[in-house]
Parts: sequence; structure tokens; C-alpha cells
Amino acid sequence: MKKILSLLILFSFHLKLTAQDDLMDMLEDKEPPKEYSKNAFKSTRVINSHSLEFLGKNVLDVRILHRFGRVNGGAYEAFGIDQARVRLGLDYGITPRLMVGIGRSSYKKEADAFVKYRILWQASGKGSIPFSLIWVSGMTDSFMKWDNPDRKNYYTSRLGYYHQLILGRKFSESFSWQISPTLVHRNIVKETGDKHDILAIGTGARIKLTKRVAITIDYYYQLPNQLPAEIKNPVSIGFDIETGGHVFQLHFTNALGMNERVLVNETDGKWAKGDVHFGFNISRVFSL
Amino acid sequence: MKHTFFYSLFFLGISVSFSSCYYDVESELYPATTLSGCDTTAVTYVSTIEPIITSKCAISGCHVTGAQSPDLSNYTGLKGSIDRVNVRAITEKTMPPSGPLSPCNVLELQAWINRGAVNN
Repeated sequence: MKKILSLLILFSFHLKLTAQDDLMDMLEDKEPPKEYSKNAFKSTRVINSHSLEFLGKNVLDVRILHRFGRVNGGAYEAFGIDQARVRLGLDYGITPRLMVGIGRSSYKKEADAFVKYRILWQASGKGSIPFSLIWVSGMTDSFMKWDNPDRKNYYTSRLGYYHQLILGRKFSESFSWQISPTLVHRNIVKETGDKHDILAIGTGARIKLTKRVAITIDYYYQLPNQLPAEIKNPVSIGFDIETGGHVFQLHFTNALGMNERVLVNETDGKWAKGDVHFGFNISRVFSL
Repeated sequence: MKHTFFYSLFFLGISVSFSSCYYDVESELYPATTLSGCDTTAVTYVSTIEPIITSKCAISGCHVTGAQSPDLSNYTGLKGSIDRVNVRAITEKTMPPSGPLSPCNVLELQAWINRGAVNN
């Protein structure tokens, strides 16, 4: 009898312990799993600048960028529609944290390539980081004919570089914001005293209006005393429209450049004078 | 391990990119070719600018009446679009599409514009 009683007590303890384990498991289950933030922006570019977004692994993004002439050309120039500059680009996601891209712009016949790496990824849940940190490095190469083919020209004069750190956060489903200190290097300048390295601070934001439509703002502030007075800070305002596999980015900008080198160094349009270009980016992704 | 590989690749790319940075200055690299043999003191529309425009811009199918805008085949058209000509041919050097104007032509055009782009 005693043996039976001891066995029963032991069994009840075992049951109690198992029940406690189950309870602990349930409590642990309630701890939300780490969830990485996604869709801070609809595209990998805010408008002109790189955004917090990345392509998925083995995803190819075919990008067509268009910038028309200045709207202050008036009706005779169809408000800029008569002139256009284009950039065709291919971006590819290697991992969810690493992507690369190449492109060719008609403006200055320039090719460009970049690598973009996510150092920190905003997430929710235990041990998560409340913001994303991204590094972008790129290179540009002009294919223009030499100004003076008779003199000894150097290939390195065609090259420029940019490096960018993007710090940003998706604050809510409808609002994301980023700031991006940027260094642009040009291998050759015209005169002694002209700066080869230009520092700028970019910022971009997205305000989501509906599930498929968002307003975007993209701006670079060039640190003072680096560039001639006629070079202005690029300001772009646009709408992102998502239609299934495509993202259309329609915008107005005072910048003609479609890579960081031109954008920071050569924007000479003044919004106040109406030196504004209508433009659009079309992005189409393919899973390979 | 996988991340270490990508980190290494990434920073290797950056170091290669930085190592090919040059700090060249055009006016120091090519001091003799900047103005040598190019007289911009006596530039006029009729004798200097019009021949440049008619041989490089206002050619058949390009900036002539009824073709590409703007029409640069006469003084009025050129003067009316002088800001665009300045940007495309002198600053950006993206016109003409066959290749930029010669350095001397650029200096002559610049000198003429700086003096008010008058019909002389």
C-alpha cells in the first residue's frame, strides 16, 4: 500500500512539474519573436537617393529613370517634355542584406555601379535594434569624348566615387525617415582650389497615403564653401504608386543627375525660378 | 562565417575603390593648352560664333527650322536660347552629340556670351 501511495505521490509531482514546464513554454511563447522591419519605402530609392529598402535574395530590379527638361521652358517646349534624359539600371539582391547595381545615364554618358550593405536592421521583439544602418559605395565612369583628344588624357579623369551611410527608421506603417551623410569624390577638378571631396547630408522621407500611394521627399544639403554658388541643393518631391510588380515614382526635382556624383556636384536648377524637371522612375522586379 | 565573408568582400571593395582616388587639377595638368593659340579678344557673332553654330549645331536634322528645338539657325534663335546653349555646350559639354566643341570654340563661345551675346 505504502509503495502504491509513494508511486502516486511521485507521479503527481511529475504531473505538476510537467504542467509547470508547459506554463513556462506558454510564457516564452508570448515573447514576440524578432521581426525585421520591411517596406520602409516602396522602392530601393527614395526618389534619387538610395533608401532603407533592399531587394530580396535573387531578385532583379529593372529600373528606368526619366528626367524631362525644365518646366519653365513653357508651352513651346511642352513644359520640358521635348527634352529627356534617361538612366537604365539593373539592381540585384544577393542576400537580404547585400545588393549591387549597375546603370547607364544619357546625362554625361555616365555608367555607374554600387554595392549596398545593411549593417544593422531595424526589428521589433527582444534584443532588436530600433533603426537601420546601411552603407552604400558607388563609382561613376563617364564615356564622353575627350574635350581635347590631342593632349594626353587619363582614364582616371573619367571616374568619380561616392560613399554613403544611411541611418533611418520606419516609425509607423505610414511614416519612414532617413538621414544619409555622403562623401562624393571626383578625380579631376577644373581649377586649383576646387574641392575633390564634397560632403553632403541627404535626407528622405515617405508618407504613405493609401496602401498603394505614398508621398516622398528627397533632399541633399551640401556643406558650405565646397562648390560654386550656382550649384544648388537638390530637392525632389514625388508620389510613389505601386501596381503589383511595378513601382512608379512620379516627381518634380531641380536635379538632372541620376547618380550621386551628378546629384550632389552638378545640380544648378533653382526651384524659385522654375528650374524644375518632371521625372519618373519605373521599377519592375523579377524573382530569379 | 557567411557574414564574415560578405563583410570582407564589402570592405575589400571599399578599399579598392578608395585606392583609385586621384586628386588631379585640369589647369595644372594642362597649363599650356588652356589658352594657347586661341584668341578670344576679337570674337564676333558673324566672324566667330555663326561659323561654329552652323557647322556644329544648326546642321541638317538638328537645330534648324522645323527640326530639333531650339532653332539655332539665326541670331534671334541662338540669343533666345543662350542659357540652354551655355549649359549644354559649355558647362555640361553634352552638346553636340557627336562630341564636345573644341576647347578653343568653347572659350570663344563663352567669351561672346560673357560680353552680352550681341549681334556684331
